Amino acid sequence: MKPHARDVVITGLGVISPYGRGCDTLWAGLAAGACVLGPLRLFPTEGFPSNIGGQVPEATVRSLGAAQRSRANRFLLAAGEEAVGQAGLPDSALTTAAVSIGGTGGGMLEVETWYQHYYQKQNDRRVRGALRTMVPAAQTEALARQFHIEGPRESPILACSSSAAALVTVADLITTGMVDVGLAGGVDSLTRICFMGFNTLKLVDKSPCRPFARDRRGMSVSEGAAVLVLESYEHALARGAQIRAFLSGGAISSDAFHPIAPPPDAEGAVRAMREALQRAHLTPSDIGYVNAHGTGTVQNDKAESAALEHVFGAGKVVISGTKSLIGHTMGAAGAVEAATTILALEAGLLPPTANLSEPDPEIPFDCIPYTARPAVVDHAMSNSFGFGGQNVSVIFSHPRTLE
Amino acid sequence: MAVRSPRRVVITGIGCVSPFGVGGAEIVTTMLRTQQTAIAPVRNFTTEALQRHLGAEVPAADLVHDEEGRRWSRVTQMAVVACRQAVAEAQLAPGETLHPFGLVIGTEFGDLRSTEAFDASFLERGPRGLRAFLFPNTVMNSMAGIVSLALSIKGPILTLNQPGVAGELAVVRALTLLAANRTQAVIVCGVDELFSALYEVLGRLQVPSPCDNGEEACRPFDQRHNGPVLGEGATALVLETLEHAQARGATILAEVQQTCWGAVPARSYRYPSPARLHYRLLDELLASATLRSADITAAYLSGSGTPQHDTAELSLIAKAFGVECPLLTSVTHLAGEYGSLGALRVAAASITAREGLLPTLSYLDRPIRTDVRFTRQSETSSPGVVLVHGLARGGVQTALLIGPPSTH
Amino acid sequence: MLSQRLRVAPERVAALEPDSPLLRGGLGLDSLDCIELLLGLEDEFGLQFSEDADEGWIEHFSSLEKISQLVIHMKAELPGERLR
Repeated sequence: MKPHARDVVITGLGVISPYGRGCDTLWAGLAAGACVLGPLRLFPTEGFPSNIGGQVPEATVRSLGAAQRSRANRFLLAAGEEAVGQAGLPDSALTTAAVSIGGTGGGMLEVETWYQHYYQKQNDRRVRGALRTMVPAAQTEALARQFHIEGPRESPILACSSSAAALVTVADLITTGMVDVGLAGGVDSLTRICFMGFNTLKLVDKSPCRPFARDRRGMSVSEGAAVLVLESYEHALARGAQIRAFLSGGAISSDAFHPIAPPPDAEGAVRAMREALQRAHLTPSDIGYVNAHGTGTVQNDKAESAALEHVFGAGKVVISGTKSLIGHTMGAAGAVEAATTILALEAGLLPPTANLSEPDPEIPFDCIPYTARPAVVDHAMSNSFGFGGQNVSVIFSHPRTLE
Repeated sequence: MAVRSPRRVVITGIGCVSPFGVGGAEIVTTMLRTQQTAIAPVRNFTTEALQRHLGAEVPAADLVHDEEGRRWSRVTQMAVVACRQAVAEAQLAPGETLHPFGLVIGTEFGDLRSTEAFDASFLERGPRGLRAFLFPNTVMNSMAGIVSLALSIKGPILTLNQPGVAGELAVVRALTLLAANRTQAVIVCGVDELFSALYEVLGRLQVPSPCDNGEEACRPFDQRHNGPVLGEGATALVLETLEHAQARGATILAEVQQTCWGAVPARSYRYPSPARLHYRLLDELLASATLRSADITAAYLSGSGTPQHDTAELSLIAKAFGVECPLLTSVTHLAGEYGSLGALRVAAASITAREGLLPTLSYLDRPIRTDVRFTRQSETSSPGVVLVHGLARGGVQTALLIGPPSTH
Repeated sequence: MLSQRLRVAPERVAALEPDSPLLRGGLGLDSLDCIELLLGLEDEFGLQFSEDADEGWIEHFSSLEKISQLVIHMKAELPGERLR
């Protein structure tokens, strides 16, 4: 199939994950099926049922320097640096580029420290500056400033689907001719509020999360950042950029069902997947792998399985839940998992689902238990289904499919 | 940076939850006609211990009384009611008709009040004190989730976080959804809430007026300007492709003719310094729009009363238009300043475009520039194309051209 | 608790009988409400529900009578009792 001038391609990836710094580090961990979920050491966790999750190693955090006030800023800028460096974008392309970064907590980790002082009627000026990086838009702004980007700037917030939505919204800016280049991604640092909240809702597992397992008990909170460089095909071709993948199609839909629970028939998720396929001019049987949202909660995995069954047919596509390896990176998840999917296409290797000693018999899919599986896949799908019924599905294609 | 929509986009409904009342376009029209400011001593919470006392508030009473709103936080209620008003005015019924619609909410602080309450419940009583049902509200997309539930909106849904121009951004993103054929109609809503801790904290950061030793007042573009006076509200718009609106016989209120979106360099949380401004965005808007700058009858500005904000914005406007500068106006002195005020600006502009009604900047005794014209006496413009310009902290810049419903 | 934690209108609370349905078609409480109630019960009565709740645990909250039975049962048992 011949590509069109305004098709969207990925020319750079950058990641900060609980494995450490960089895409290579991420891929090494995923390919090895290494679960890095363990005790959280960022803030006190006593008094809560679950105190484990994914945390970016302290050595990595230290290596990111202290120039940025907030942890989230540091993660995002490092991921951005890797992505932009890889893509080899000239400055002129960056000036007019779009930048869309999703997140849920923003710089709330540092604000929590400030708020504790404030609540106790103290006033520590040193930490008051944290307020300036509180909202997620502050991270987007920091990334734009880092690369002198003066194009359209946006911070989509869709809970767990935030950065997946950023990919779709930047792709739209490219296909409609508004920009030629965009940075799309997401970031979240661990925050006390997030940790406490999921604990209080009884949605976290005391052990590392077990997506699609029979006795799964909940998710594992985590943190990270990912940035992808998106370009129009003609722009990438003209400057001789290496095309990592095509973003063939994407869709966003709303459940309109409940503030946090998915509808049992997962109708919104089905629509998102079908629209993504339609926009990619693909049928379900073209998809060789789905990187599932797979949080490990009883409800999500069940609903997601129902949705996959509706779209693909029971057992008709291979899936895995990589949150089992690095946890739920919240606002960064969509972008981290997009990067994962692209790396899988490139490597011809599908990352596994960890902690899957006993798959749920009611989930009729091969979830690639424990060991990564060699497979040459042309088209893969990455799904994110956020709190509040905000579903995003994105399809990536290997460059060999379009030439 | 211009959004060249392949299809024409029109506004068919306006909904408002504001200090001026709750309703549709008539709330905005009344605001423009009566010119009464909503800025007054704050009543919804105490400011006794604070240096500042003024605000523009939505009255404290519950907006949603029936059982369904039981768990909805105040900012969520504001968003739901504004969207319902807009939908009603557009003569659409919540339910199946709205399934294919999109929803874009723009906000600066989201449900920060619930976030604070959630954290406070922990600080007060430890893990046992946590209020579970507040947690979903700690992510800014919670309002969109509830609005989509309340109105049965099942199309593409986005919440955009942005200081200063959240309302304008929501409109621009809606146009892109339409251009990309993801939907034929989008409900757009700008919403932000003022509450005690936010008021106090912004005060400690010396954001609101007075940021000098002067008087606490809202005076954008006046030499006495010394910061904004904070406000709150929710304004919703129904945006549709022209075909979609015509096919269902909708009344068209205005047309979004052209939009532009970008940024000028600025330091973290600051306004751009005049030395580093560039004028590309407005230049591009004027080049791509099929009209001359003289055809733009008026321009709504976002200047909040923060000196650097007002100065930078006027520099951008004056340089782009030169001697053909449109009449400059604002709603900030009426409604107070908040991150998503831009949605109200767009609503006001659509009324100006159709009826020529304009707000008067009657406080503006000594403008900071005399080479541009402000609406200082009661004046109207002729119906025509109106610019809505936005400049935010951090440098994001937006420009929208709103025109009257055409006779095509 | 229904009134304060869950913001149920006072007149609706006053009208409840011990066996009035609280979930679904009755008062309309959902899982998010029930978590809030559960936390309230833990707090008020010094209980500690085990984390390993079965699916269908929210049926314990289907009426006022069931809730009081739950509390009595929990107070009589050892801490960390499984919520069956």
